[in-house]
Amino acid sequence: MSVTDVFATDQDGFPWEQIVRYVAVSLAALFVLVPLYWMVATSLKDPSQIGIFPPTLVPSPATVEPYFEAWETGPWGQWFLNTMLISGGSTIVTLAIATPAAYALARFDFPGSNPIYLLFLGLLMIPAQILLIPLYNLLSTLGLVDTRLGLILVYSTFFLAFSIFLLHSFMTNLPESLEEAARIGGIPEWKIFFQVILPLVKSGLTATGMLIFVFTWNEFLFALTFLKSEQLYTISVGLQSFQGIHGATVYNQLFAMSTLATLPVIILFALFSEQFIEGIAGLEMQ
Amino acid sequence: MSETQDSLVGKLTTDRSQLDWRPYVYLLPAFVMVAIFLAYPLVDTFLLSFQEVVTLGGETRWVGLDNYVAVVTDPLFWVAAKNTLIFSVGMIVLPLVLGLGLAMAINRGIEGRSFLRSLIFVPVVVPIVVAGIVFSWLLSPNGLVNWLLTTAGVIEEPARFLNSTTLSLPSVMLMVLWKRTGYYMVILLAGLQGLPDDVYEAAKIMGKSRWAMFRHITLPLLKPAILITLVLGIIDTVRAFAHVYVMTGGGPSNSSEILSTHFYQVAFGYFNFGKGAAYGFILFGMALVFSTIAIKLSGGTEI
Amino acid sequence: MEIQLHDITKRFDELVAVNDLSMTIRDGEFLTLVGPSGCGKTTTLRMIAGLETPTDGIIEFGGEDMTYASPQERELAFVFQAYALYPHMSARKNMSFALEHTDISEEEIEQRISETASMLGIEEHLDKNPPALSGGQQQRVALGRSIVRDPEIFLLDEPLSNLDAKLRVKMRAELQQLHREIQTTTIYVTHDQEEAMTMSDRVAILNNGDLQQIDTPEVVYSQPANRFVAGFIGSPSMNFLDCRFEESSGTIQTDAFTIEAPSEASGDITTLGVRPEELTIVPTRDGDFSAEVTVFEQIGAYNIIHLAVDGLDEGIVAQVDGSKHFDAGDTVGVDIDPKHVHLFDANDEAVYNPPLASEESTALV
Repeated sequence: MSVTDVFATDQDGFPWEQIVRYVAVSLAALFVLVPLYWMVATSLKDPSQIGIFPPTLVPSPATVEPYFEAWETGPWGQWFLNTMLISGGSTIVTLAIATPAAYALARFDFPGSNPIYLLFLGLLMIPAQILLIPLYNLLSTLGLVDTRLGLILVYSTFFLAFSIFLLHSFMTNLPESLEEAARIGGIPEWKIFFQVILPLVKSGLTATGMLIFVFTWNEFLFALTFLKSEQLYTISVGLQSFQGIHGATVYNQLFAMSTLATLPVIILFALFSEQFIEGIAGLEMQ
Repeated sequence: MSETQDSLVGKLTTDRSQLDWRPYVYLLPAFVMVAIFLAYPLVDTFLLSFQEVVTLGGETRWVGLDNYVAVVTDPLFWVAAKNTLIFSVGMIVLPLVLGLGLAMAINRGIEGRSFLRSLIFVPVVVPIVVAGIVFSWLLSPNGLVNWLLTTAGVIEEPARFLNSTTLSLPSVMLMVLWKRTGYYMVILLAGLQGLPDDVYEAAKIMGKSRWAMFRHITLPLLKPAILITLVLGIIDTVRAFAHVYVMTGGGPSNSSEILSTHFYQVAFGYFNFGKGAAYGFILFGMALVFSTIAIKLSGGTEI
Repeated sequence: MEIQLHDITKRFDELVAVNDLSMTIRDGEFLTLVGPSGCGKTTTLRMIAGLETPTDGIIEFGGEDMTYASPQERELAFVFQAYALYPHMSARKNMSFALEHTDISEEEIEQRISETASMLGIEEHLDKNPPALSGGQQQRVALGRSIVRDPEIFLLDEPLSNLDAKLRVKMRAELQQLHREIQTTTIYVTHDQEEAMTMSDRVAILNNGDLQQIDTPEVVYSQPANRFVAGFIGSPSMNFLDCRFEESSGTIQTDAFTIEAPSEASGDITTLGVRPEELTIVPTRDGDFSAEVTVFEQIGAYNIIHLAVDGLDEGIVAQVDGSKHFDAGDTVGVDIDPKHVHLFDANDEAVYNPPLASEESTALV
């Protein structure tokens, strides 16, 4: 008897458990989808369908006009580009720094490895916003306030510990004899790292990279605090300022831009959902 | 005699190669990064928490524990603390329970598990600002929720969810529930998948009830995964900012103000950096204390 | 390349994995380190490879101190139990990887790989990745990866233990032949005494981190230094019986029987050891003692019988010719050739062993 059978039906044969299961999952799916549907639907409505009660459930007529109208209201293209650069840059910098660190912690037994591991674990516990003030001061000293680079460096630091843990969990599973074979084969250390280890944790690098990209794409507080000039806003800050300026009057435009802001991460997730989930679930293995 | 001496010399000269420098080299960039952008600011903020900025030029003077006292004697701090406690139900308890239920629902005996898992996870990747804006609109007086509730006859007049002192915080929590359930579900699902099938088969054969199986098999075996979600939840609760900021800005009349938004208000709204730094350390302390309590309570030593 | 270990000790925290081990591995010889798991054999091999650093002692290659040299500096080859092939590289790349950063020319690398591949019979698998290869093929690639480097020292850590029994016997012969061809100093680690006996020039037996004996297979079989070696080498294992040595009558007495002691016997003898193949089953009246067959194991070329003897707490095992058949319950006589017994003292050290078969035959000529 397989487990599926055990759980599929009750003793008396009536599949009430199956029914509960499907009802629960359907409700959850509905809960997930309604807000997203509402966002897209609203973005396709003309102004006559905004703010009326009862609301129109399906945009009629459906129009893409709000997308074009909204695009004219601010430097949205620049904001998307900024977000792309900041998220991309943070992902690259974080991986470049976290990967060797994770390698050291996962693959070497050295004095201090345990305390260092715990130290990074402790860093995860710091509520990042408490560093806003000193980081702001530090970035002004370095001339990095209101620059994309400044934000990239801050993001990279904050996602460092998380990335190290995730990559660590992927690396500890590799057999030790791989490096030993390489060392005995006279392979130089850097080549072992780049050509033996890295290719074998490709899925871990993808998972970690995707997560950093999405987290930084969505980050709000630091972007809000460190980016002062409108030209440098990320898409989240741009959306928030648009909402603040235009209020509830142009919800169709606001949602058009919200949809655009969400699209890249949804596409990334659709393409790499396995890696994402593996990455998040990887936390559990720690 | 001479042979022993030779070998001793040989040993002394090669001894230093016993310290393996490689891991330290690999860790160096991370250390530099952490030192500059984490350790230094952390120390800086710690020192700042005992100082007061007296001039616009940034001159400071030492004020001892005054900043800490100022934080804890601020009545708004206690309002925010109480709200944060309520808020944590939406950040931790509800999504954890829902996530566990869903994880168990899709773990076995359902078609398209991996699709369902991805679908329920989608809100996690939606930008928090977008989620806040969408829920604000859903909950607005002429929004979808009010239409549904009035049509169904639950309420007579559309409610002003975000402008109500009693409903603003629950409104934010609804969005948070939407955003976090999939997150917890995925972590718990990974934990469930680590549970061996034969344990359930054995229990089934012994005629254990479903509740007994859940209580005595699933839950204990899932403890490490639940612990992780708890700790992550606590840290994220202390960190949560945009959730409230975008939807209610903490209002009306501070009814949805949580520690994180209040902290931001103190530090950047009033530019009281000293008090803000003290506030930050209080937050840090809370994250540490509550995480430790969570770990201790669940008896876990995994972390 | 000759390898010398001087007083090597390796401690992992409290655990002493290798205790004050000294031995010399001669240039070109095939030496096997054998012992039960946890005896320190693999740790010893890993210290020679540079994967572990001794807590104490010195390791020399050809007279040069290599105790703390990195694995890269030692220029030796190591074949791992689980092969440790790079799963993301083709078999060819696995073999060439270690040569690529050296000054060996590309043509030379190509040549070495094709020569080695044909020697190992893996030419047609060179472009596959390890996961697509069978266990035996992976094993050959792992050997090939070591051979192409033309190392001075060849280390093998239980390389056959992941193969099925049949392939293991085949690879055993192939490895011996390989060693004859490349003539490289080879150290082979196994827990399987049969592998050790069939393949090696010399065998080193370890137990609990201590070297028990190091000698040719013939000597460790016929003249084990102590009771541990006597019990570990040979299958089925040697029978051990508590005994007393009666000096006046020149006899060995057990609880069940008395036999004539070898003339060389002397001193404090407490254990009598007899290999199952050294026991002769005879009609009841002709034996030194009689016994009851409890279990009969039909092997084929030879058969094994388990015997219960009145007066002995534990049964004894005898090996008989494949043509002989017994049933449980049969009563048989057992004859012991006093020359072919092993006697151990209270410290389990051997005080008497029979002469080597090779010496015996020369003596007869």
